[in-house]
Amino acid sequence: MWLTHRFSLTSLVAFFLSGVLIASNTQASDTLLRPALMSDKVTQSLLLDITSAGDRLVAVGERGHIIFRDPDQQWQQAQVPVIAHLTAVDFPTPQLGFAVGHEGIILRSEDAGESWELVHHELVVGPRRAQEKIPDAEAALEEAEEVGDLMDIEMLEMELDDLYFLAEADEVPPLLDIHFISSEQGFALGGYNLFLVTEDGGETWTSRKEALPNPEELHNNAIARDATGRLFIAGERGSIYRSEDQGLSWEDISPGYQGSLFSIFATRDGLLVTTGLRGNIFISRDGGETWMQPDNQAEQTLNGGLLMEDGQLLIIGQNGEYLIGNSDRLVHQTLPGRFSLQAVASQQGEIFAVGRGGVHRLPLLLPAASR
Amino acid sequence: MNKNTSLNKPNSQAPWIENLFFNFRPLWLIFFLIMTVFLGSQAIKVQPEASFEKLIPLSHPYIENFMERQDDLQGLGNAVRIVVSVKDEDEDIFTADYMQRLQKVYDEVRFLPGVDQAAVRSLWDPAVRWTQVTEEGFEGGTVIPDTYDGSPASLEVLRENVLKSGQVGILIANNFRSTIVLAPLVEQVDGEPLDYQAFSHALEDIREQFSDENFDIKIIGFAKLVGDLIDGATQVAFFFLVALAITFVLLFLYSRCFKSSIIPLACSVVAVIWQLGLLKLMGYGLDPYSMLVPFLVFAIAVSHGVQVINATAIEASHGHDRITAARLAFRSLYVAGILALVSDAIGFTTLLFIDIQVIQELAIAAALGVAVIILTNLILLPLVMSYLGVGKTSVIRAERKRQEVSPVWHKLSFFTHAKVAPWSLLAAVLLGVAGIIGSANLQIGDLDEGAPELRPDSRYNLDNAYVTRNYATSADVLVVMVETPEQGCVAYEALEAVDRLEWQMRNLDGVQGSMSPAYVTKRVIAGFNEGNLKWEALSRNQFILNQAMSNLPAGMVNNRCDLLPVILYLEDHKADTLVRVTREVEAFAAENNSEHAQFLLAAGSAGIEAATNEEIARAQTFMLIFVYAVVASLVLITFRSWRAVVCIVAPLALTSILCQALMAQLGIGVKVATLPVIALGVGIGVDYGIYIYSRLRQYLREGENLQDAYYHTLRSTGKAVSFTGLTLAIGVGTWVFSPIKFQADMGILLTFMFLWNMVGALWLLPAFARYLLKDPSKA
Repeated sequence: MWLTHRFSLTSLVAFFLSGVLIASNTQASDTLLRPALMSDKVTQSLLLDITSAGDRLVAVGERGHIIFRDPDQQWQQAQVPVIAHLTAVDFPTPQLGFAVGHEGIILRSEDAGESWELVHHELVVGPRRAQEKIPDAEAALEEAEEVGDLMDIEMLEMELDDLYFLAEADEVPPLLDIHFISSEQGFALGGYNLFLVTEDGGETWTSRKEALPNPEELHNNAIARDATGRLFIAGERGSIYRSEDQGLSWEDISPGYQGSLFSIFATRDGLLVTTGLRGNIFISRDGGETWMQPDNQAEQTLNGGLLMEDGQLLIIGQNGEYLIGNSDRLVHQTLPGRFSLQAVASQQGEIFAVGRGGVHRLPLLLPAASR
Repeated sequence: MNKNTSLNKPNSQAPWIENLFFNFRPLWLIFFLIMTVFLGSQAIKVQPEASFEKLIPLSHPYIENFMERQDDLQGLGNAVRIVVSVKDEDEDIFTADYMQRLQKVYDEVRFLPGVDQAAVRSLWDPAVRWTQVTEEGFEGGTVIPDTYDGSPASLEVLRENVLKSGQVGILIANNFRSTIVLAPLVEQVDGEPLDYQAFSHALEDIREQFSDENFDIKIIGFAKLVGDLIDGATQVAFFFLVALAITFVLLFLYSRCFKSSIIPLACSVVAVIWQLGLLKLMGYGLDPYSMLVPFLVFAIAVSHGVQVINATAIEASHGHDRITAARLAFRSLYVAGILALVSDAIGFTTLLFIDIQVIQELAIAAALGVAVIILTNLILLPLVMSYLGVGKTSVIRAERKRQEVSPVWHKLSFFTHAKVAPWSLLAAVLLGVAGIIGSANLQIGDLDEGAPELRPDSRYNLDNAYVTRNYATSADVLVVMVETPEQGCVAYEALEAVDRLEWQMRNLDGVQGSMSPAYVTKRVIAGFNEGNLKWEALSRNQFILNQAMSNLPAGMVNNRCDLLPVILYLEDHKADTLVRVTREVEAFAAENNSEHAQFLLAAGSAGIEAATNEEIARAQTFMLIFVYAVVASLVLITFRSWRAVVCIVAPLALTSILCQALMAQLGIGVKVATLPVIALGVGIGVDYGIYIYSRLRQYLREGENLQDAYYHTLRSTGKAVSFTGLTLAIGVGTWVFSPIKFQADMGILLTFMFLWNMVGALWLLPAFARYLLKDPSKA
């Protein structure tokens, strides 16, 4: 009798204490750190990326929505500790996956996407990182002032001003894509040249923005790796960077197009494809040395694609537009309902596209010759 | 008969009030004539009316919240939608003919008095725009291209623009075969309240003018609904004539005397004229609810008139002359009559506790009406009788009736019998239990789809069903008003909470969709970022939020920037749905109200309905308790006995329970229209009990045993009581045929209550008396 009594008392105390702790710890930066609402409507909500984890498909989207589907099963919603706008997902192994989103949030799953933990929050880490660099920068500036090199002083002053600003920042650009080249090493990238790297399986992330040839701090929209292990980043105003040393150094290989590129992917038959505004598609057969544009009538922004099992190229875009064909010619089709499509993946020969309105199974694909 | 001996000496014991009237008969008749002419001239000026604000509980917190912020919620409160649709199944809206027709309708609607001209939305409105992202940034324009000339090429551009405008499902039907002209209304035109009937007729003119074999016009919205209601309600004037005719026939069958039929009828009509005239003088009009009152007044007046005629005939049969018979009739009835009428009036005034103006006005009109009856049927009627007298046939009938044994009344008198009474009470208890079980799923509020005020196959409801089918917007809209500090509507914290509320609500059963500034802001932010959906989220960057919010459509945010509306489209307006939705919002508010945002309920049709339902649910219990308390205390004061209270009130309570069961079975909810029915039913129903009980007590005091006393009671008042029940039932029964659903509902329920109250008084009162009253023969 007194046992249960004592138990309820302690739990009551614990309850109040936890309440107090939560209350006192609530900060402006915690707004999105609440569990995603479990919802029947999740498969119709805005989804932004989809990928394979072994046989399983995993998709991410608005409000911390992550869903997964095993072959011939229903979609299920994962347990997610945030309600952030999740923009991309990647699974280096069938079990281990990462998702990124706004506020520089990075999530990790070790159970094939069923549950997720927060491993990085740039909104909190970014200012701290800047804060930590300030003493060194101040010391460097002092040293430079002693030496009296005006060029150095000016540069160091600007750098320090940046750090002061970043240390006080209450917002960070969103992360827009993520890619792991092993279960240890991965890259997360986003707006305004945000570029984070991990080498310990996502435990810690460091900024490597200076490694990219991106002085104007354009958005980094997408990252891909080809069969030979080369890495490519596509971004704002037609920028494309390539790394041949696992992401240590990057070179600018932009094709000269001025519109933004939103996706980049490599196919198993050696094509490198990047897509962007107003139906622009650039295809390279030589790892980005030379580019060609296939013939197509697309008008909408194109957001992604894949090489289907029958060897045809599928590219999807805004307002339900999608293209099927080969590297020379792609035929334009429209999804009924004109939902904007953001990413695409296949499972046992079935094509799943995600975007506005959630998951869409693309209608039976017509042979390219039909139009 | 004993009791009449004291009255056999006319004038000697005449009370002052009797002398007051009977000593100056010509003067009073002239007075009544002048008043009737004057009030009649007022009565014909009574206008049918209805206003939005009268139908809603103004002091409910939801409504107070709404009224305070009404100016900031333009277009969310009161608007009509005029749908211009293409009739041909194979055609769509992208034809020059259609666009021209739409333009005419748009122009016509904008200049209707009562329409907020600047807020009217249509494809032709320059504020309705499309946008698109290009390499250079945003591109946009009016949906109808500046170069529009009706050519196939410009129609093709129009089609593209429509798809890009995001208005499909809102202003443009999902099937592209109709579009909406959305016209928000102002409550006042030139300082006068908007005349809904005239406005509705103006809309009908537009319908008439612009629909033909190619195009059809459908109109929905509160103003149209009210206009249709008033038109429909006006038709019930015809029912009045029907009720008049039937009542005359009944009166004639009852009295077999033309004079005795026409005089009470005429006096009752005078009562109605007075009531309407006084209503006009007091500045009230007749709305579809208070239109019931003239019927009630007429019926109550007739039933009292019958008592007077009855008494006069009895006195005349004793051999008195006309004036003495009239005096004695007055003398025997005025106390009981006034008491009964006053108790009716007090019963009605309990309705004043319901904070909804139409119900309060109904109460005032009805109370006024019964007060008038005191003058017309308790005073004017005997005065007229004193000149005209009852016909010989009724005198002879009254004479004969007094002598003969009535087999019917004799049988009914067995209700007091020790072997019958327990079974009666058992049956009553069983009925009560059945009633309580049957009324278990009695609902608050309106249950039918569309506008439940009108019948499901009415033009309005057909139009409404069309819009619900072809547009994403539902007619049942609930708006959560999110209040922020001034200029705080752009704060990230406020918008983030709004966004979260919206998603939580969209996951609630019964919520079909939603719209909010947060939703629009996110879309605009994505637009800023080349339409990239990966950016379609609220930003913590204040500059971006300010920029995005400055692109919000009008009505989404107010000038002071301190109010964010969250618009929820509901699947229906059933009470359950409304309660579920408002509970969820209240729970969210309790958790998330902060210095950045306060979540307030509620605007929109469903918000107002939710408040009305709450007020009705609150008032229902309160009113029931109050009306029974009033009736019980009146009975207690009159008879100074709790036994009388049980005898009279218990049968009424059974009727109330059965009435609720009837409502549940017929799918009639407790709503603005049906709530007053209970008070009216109980207030009027108590009369029967009072008449019967007072006679019964008198005979018991004279030493008769219970059954004899009851037999004599029935012989003297039983017929009048049953006749009264019948007249009242007929008066309101004609309403069953009203084109307006709630009037029909009121008709059904009141008819039921009047008849059952009568049955209860005749059947159960004696059964209770068996156990509660002392039987002198056994003492």
